[in-house]
Amino acid sequence: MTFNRQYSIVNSQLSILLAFLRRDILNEISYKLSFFLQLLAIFPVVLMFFFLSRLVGATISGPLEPYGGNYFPFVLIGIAVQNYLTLSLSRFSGSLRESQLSGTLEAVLVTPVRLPSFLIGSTAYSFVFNALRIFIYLAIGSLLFHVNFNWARLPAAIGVIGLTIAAFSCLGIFSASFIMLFKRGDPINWGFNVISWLLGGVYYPVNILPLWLQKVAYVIPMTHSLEALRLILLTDHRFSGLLDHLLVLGLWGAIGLPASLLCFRYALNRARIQGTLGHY
Amino acid sequence: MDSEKYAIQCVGLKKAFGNRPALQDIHFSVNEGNIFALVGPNGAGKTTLLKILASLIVPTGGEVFVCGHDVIRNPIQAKSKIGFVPSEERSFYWRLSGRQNLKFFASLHNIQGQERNRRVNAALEAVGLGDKGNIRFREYSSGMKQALGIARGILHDPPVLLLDEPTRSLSPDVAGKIRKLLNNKAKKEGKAILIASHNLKEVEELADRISIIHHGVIKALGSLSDIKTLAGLSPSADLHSLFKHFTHNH
Repeated sequence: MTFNRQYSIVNSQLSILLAFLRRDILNEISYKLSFFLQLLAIFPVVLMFFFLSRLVGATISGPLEPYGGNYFPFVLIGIAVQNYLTLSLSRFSGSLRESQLSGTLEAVLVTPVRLPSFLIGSTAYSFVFNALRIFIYLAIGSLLFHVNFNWARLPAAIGVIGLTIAAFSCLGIFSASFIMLFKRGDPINWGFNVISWLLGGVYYPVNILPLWLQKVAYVIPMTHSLEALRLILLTDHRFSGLLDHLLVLGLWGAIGLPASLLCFRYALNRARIQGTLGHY
Repeated sequence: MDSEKYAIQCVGLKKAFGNRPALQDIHFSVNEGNIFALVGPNGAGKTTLLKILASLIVPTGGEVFVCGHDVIRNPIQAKSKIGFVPSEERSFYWRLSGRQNLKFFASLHNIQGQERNRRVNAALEAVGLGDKGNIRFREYSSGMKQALGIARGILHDPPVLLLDEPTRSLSPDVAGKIRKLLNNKAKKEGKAILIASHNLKEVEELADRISIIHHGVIKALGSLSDIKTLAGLSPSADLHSLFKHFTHNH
């Protein structure tokens, strides 16, 4: 394939992604109140965890030592990322379900749009908007509650979030495959969310779990994403110490993404064979 | 290759949903510049056939080609040649305007920038929505929604148009305008058009060739006069009597 041809394909796929993004932005801002309420809802959550941190902070400062020893910044990163991943991941199946209900799924799939572009495009808005929410969580913590984040290392944190998206997207795509086949119910998303907030170190450090549960925790990407982000933003830990976490996230993405795409392709074909593509 | 001669070609097409056959041994072809109509009772298999051509349903057997592209093996290439107009109104984004909807679908066909604006305006104009493009889709009447579906079908100027009951909800004047548009698309621009319809008067007016389909089987295929000869009915018989002949006697 010539360079020009490759450039033209990449360019056209980017234009398609932008079209999905534009569509979802137009749709979201048409619900003006909801749009602002979503952002406003962050404040009471942060406030609640601020007071909670005053209650529990001192008692668990030992296990928090690797992350600077303070509970509030620790949990702030935890809830921001967990919120991000929950909302973004549910978008894969949610967007598919919405398009089945609204009847737009067939209208989109009858165009020559490629499967990866369709999947990424359908969720792009959610990933972008929810990334803004993470920033708002951290900004509120920093401006109103004087949390000292290592802002100079923000680009590294954005890199980790990028790897995290790749690692978690496969779970979202598996979940969308389930919706494509069975139309309702989403056990993959539900199960994974529960495991992530229970074992991923969202509210408490993984090192307080029993040893056998710690081993399970270090299999799931949430643990590695949070560990890496906390070490980057809350400490002066050297980047070389993050390699293990980045490697696990990278492996999840490298193996999980192609596998989930295959799974979605299979589910799509099953729906096309059964004639149930637009059913809900 | 034979398939390249035709805009649409179905060879021995079969489709079953579980044990229930929906289409059986369907053979037909549509040339460029021709309007081909599928008529049949509800549940005859018309929409299934259209959806197979649009690659939304995978057939159980047989082959389907659009402009020489195998719909099953090369769906992306085949889909780029198709404009599909479903019978359902709810295939748009309700909180977006008609124009915003069309711009989105134009982008999926890789039409960008000024060219996209030009095509969206032309498509809206063609279906009589030229001054209604900025109204939100949810505020459209049934007829306007259907007209927007047709606008979306012609937006990327495809060589093949597949339309499922294109004038069902339209007022007589708009329906007449759409029939004229489709006729021009076929006769002046050389598009191949396949229409599934219950409106037999419309089919008589538009179609070069007609297929009467019943229980997933083509009962008759050809021009109106061919079908009259096949049925052994008088030359004055209309499509309604032919329809009754082939669907009630079989």
